[in-house]
Amino acid sequence: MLLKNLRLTNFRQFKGEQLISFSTYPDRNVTIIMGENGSGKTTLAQAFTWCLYGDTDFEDKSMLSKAVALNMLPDEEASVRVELDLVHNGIEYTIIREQKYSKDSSGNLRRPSQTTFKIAFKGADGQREFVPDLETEIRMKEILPKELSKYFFFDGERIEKMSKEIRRGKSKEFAEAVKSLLGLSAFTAALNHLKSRSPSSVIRSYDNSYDAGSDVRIAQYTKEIDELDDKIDAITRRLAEIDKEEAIAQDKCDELKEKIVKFKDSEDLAKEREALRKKLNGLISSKASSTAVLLRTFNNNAQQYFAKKMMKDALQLLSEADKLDKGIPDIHERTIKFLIDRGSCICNNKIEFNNDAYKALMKVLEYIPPQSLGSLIGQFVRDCESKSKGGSSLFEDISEQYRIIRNFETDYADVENKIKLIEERLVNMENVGLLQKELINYERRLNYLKKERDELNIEQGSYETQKKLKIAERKELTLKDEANRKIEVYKAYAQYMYDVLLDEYTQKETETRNQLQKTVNGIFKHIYNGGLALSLDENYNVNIIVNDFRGYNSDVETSTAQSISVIFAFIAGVIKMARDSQNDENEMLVSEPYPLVMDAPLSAFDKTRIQTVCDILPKVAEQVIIFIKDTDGELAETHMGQQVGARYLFDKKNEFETYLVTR
Amino acid sequence: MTDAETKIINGVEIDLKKANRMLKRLIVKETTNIKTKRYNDSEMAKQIKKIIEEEVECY
Repeated sequence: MLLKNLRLTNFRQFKGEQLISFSTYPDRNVTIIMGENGSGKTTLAQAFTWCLYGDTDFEDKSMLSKAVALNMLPDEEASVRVELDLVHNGIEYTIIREQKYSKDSSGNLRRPSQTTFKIAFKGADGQREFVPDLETEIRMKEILPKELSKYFFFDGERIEKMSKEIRRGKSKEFAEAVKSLLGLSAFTAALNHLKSRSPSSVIRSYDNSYDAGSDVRIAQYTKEIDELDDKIDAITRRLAEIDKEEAIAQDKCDELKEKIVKFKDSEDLAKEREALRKKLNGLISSKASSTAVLLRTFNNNAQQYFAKKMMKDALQLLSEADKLDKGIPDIHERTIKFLIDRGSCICNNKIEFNNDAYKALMKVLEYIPPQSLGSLIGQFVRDCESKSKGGSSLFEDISEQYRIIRNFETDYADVENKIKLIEERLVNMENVGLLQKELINYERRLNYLKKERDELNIEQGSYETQKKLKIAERKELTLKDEANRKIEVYKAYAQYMYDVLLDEYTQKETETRNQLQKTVNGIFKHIYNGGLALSLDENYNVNIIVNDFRGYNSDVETSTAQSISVIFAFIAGVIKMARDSQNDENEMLVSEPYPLVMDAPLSAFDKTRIQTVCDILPKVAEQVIIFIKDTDGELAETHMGQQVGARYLFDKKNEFETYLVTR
Repeated sequence: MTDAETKIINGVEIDLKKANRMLKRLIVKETTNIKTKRYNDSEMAKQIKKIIEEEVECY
C-alpha cells in the first residue's frame, strides 16, 4: 500500500479544502510534516484513522472546523470530508469519509449525521467505480485491518501502551491480521472457500446438493449432520471465549499475586499500627492518672507547703516572745466572773463596777481560758509541726509527677509520629486480605473454566464421532446412486485439496513466524544494543528474553527505551517481511508493502536511537510519513536528508485555523 | 505433494495427477483474486467447484 494524497475538507482546524501529497519515490520515500506544538500534527494523524475507520481519539467528537461552524448561518449545512488516495495490490483506491453538520433555526449546531463511507477504485477499463456499500467494511479490512492500523498509523505518545499490548493479551484477530500482512491470506481464503460453515463453501454446498430422491434417509442424515455441525460450532465458539476469559483471569491472578507479594508488608505494618494505637491509649490513661495524682498531691499538701515559710517565721517570733503569755495559771473565766459577782476578791478587796479591782480583773479576763493564749500558742506550735511535715515532700512529689507527664508528652508525640508514618505508607498499599479474597475468586473462576473446557471437549468429541458415523452412513447410501456418487467424488477431491493446503499453510505459517522473529530480532538488536532478544509465540505476542543468561527464558520487565525499541522492531519487522514476501509470483504468499505514518515518533527516543531509527525506517518501510515538532524534525531531516521526498509545514493562523504549506 | 498415482479420501479413490492439477489452478485463482477482488466468497466457491468438476470429468 502506498499513500498518495490526503484531501481534508473542514476537518477540525484544517479549514476549507487542503491537500497533502506524499512522496512515493522509491529512493526518496520520506515525507516530513513539521509544526509547533498544538498546530495540528495529531489532528492530521487522526484524519487517517477517521477516514479509514470512522474513529478518533479526540474527546470532542465534532470533526467540523470550529472556524466554519462559527460562520454558519441558522439552517445552513456544512460537510467534513477526508479523502485518502492510495494504491493497494496495484489498484488505485480513494477512501472517502464524509459527515454532514447543520445548524437549527436558533443557530445551534445539530447532532451530526452518521458518517458515509465510500471506497472508489479505478477499474480495469480505467473508469472510476465504487465498492458496493455492503462490501466497504470487508474491503477496508483487506486493505488494512483495523487491528493492525495502529501499528502503521503510529502515535508516539501511545508507545508505552502499545508496548504492553504487543507483549501480551492480543486478540486472535491480531494474529490473523499479522498472518494476512505476512502474505498468508491466500491460504486462509482458499481453506475457507473449500471448507467452512458457510453454506456456499465447496464441501458444504456439495453436502446440500445430494439427490435425496434416491433415498429419503440421505436428507435426514444431512439434516442431522448439519445439526451436529451447529453444536460443534457452538462449542468451538465457547472454547474460544473460554480461552479469552482464561487469559484475562490468568492475567488478573498474576497481577494480584504480584500485588500480594508487594503489599505483604502492609499486613505487618497494620499490626504494628494496632500495637502503637494500644500503646497510645495506654499513654493517654497513664497521663490522666499521673495528672490526677499530681493534682491530689497539690491539693493535699500545697497549703502546708506554701504556709511553711509563714509558719517558720511565726514560730520564730513565738520563741522569742515568752512574755506574751500574761494569763494566770489555772484561773478560768468562770473564777473571775464568780469573784466579780461576789463583789470581793481573793485578797478581800472590794470589787465594784469600774473600780480599780474590777478593771484589773476584766484585764485578766483577756488572758485566761477558755482562750488561754498559752494554750493557743501551744496548739499552734503543734499544728505547725504537724503541717510542716506534710508539705515537706510536695516539691519532690510534684516534680516527679510532672516529669512523668512530660515524658508522656514526648512518648505520645513519638508514637503518634510512628502511626502517622505507617499510615502514609499504608495509603499506597492495598489491603492484602481483600487482594487474597479477589485472588481466590479468580482462581476459582479459572478452575471453573478449566472444568467447563474439559466437559466441552468431551461433548465435542462425542458429536464428532456421531457426525463421522452419520457421514459414513450417508455415504453408503449416496454411493448407490450415480449422481450422488459423483458428488462424493467431487467432495473427496475438495477434501484432498483442503488437507494438502492445510498442511502447507501450517508449515508456512510456522516458517513465516520464525522468519518474522528473526527479522524483528535483527532490527531490535540494531536499535537496542543490549543482551536481550525477542521471541514470538503462536499468537504473535512478543516476549523479551535475557540471552546473556543461559537457561533464563522468561519474559522480563522492560525499561522505556526497551519498550520503544520492541515496538519499532516489531512494526519494522512486519513491514519488512510484508515487503519481502511480495516477490514470489507463483507462491501462495501474497503480500503488500506498507507505509508507516507516525505522529511524534521520536519524542521518546534519545539522540543515538533517533539516528538509528531514522536510518532503519526508510529502508524497511515502503513509505514513511512523519508528523514532527520542529526540533525533532530538524534532527530527523539531518539523518534522513537524502530520503526526504516531500516537506510540509503546519502554518498555524490561530487556534481554529491551520494551513498546510510546502517547504 | 505425493508421487503416488491414487489415494483414498473418505473411501473414494482419487487420481492424484488430477488432484494436483486442480490444486495448482486453485492456487492461481486464489492468489489472483486476492489482488483483483474480482469474486466474492460464494463466487470463488463456485469457481473452485467448476475447477473440480472439469478436472474430474476430464479423461
